[in-house]
Amino acid sequence: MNSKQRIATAALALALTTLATAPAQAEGKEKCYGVAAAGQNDCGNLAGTHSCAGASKVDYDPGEWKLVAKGTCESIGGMLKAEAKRRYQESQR
Amino acid sequence: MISDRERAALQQRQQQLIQCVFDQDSPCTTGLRVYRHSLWTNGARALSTTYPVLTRLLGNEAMAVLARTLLRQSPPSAGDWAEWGEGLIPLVDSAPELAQMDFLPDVARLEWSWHQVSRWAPLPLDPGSLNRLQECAPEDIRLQLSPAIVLLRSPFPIDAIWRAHRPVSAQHGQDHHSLDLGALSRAIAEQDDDCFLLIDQRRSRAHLQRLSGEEFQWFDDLLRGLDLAELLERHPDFNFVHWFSRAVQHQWITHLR
Repeated sequence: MNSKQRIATAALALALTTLATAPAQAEGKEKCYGVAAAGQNDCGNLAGTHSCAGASKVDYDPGEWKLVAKGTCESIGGMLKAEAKRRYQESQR
Repeated sequence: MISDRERAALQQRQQQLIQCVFDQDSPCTTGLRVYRHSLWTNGARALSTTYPVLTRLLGNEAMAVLARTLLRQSPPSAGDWAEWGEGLIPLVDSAPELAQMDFLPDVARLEWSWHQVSRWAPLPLDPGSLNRLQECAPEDIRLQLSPAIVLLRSPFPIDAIWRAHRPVSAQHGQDHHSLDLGALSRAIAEQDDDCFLLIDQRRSRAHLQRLSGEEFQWFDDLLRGLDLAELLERHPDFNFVHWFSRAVQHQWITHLR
């Protein structure tokens, strides 16, 4: 085995360790609230004040959502719909 | 059913409306001018969302003028405003009024790249293809870089300029005219080499980092399609083992071929 092949094999060994410790990500997408930058939301908001993608005015508005990889929403600081809706309803009381 | 004549009349009215809204020199009734102004407002808002630092450096009024010019030169071709605005880079580059701020086009390029990477769906790594590292000779291995990363090179410290002028408030409309000249001159003075940058996605958000010249050259050689043996020959001191682990972790590569 030459030195380049040894480097390649060592790289594979470390990469497999990295993959084994990386968090598994489920297939698919889900709506994630509170993570969209201003103007980067995917559709209508909880308040019903708009129904358009790209219409949010502030960063990370808890009423705005964007699609993210399933299972990653809460880990990036967002909320799933049930939680977002509960908080929105509380804020309206 | 409508007749051919009615259809032709409708098409003509539609054409007049489009011309009125998009062509600033065409005659327009007062009522229809509302749509033209709405287009300008939406265009300026879209640019300030995509280019918050440029907006802060130049101010809202200048961005509104640039938005109108860009709308005339290259109107949006899709319904999503987030897809419009790349043309601002050559526009800023060619504007004689902005020639003194020669770092602006590169800052614009950084902001557009950041905006793009923020919106791209991540491309997962094909873990099975990693076995090629064990099964194939390095001469027969090529690493496929993910199209969801961007590499930038600039003679200006555009990352420092960008970080120093990113709006701290969530309200993009605030503090647009507060150009921090001190931070700007410090950043440019501290620069003694080109600025090499990588933008990738971390936890579904764009992430910017500075690269060494050597690592940038490595990425550049990867893009040129060199095989692993050629890469290791050209970069004898490069820590490929460590780099490859990070490449897998941050999904800089999609597969080996």
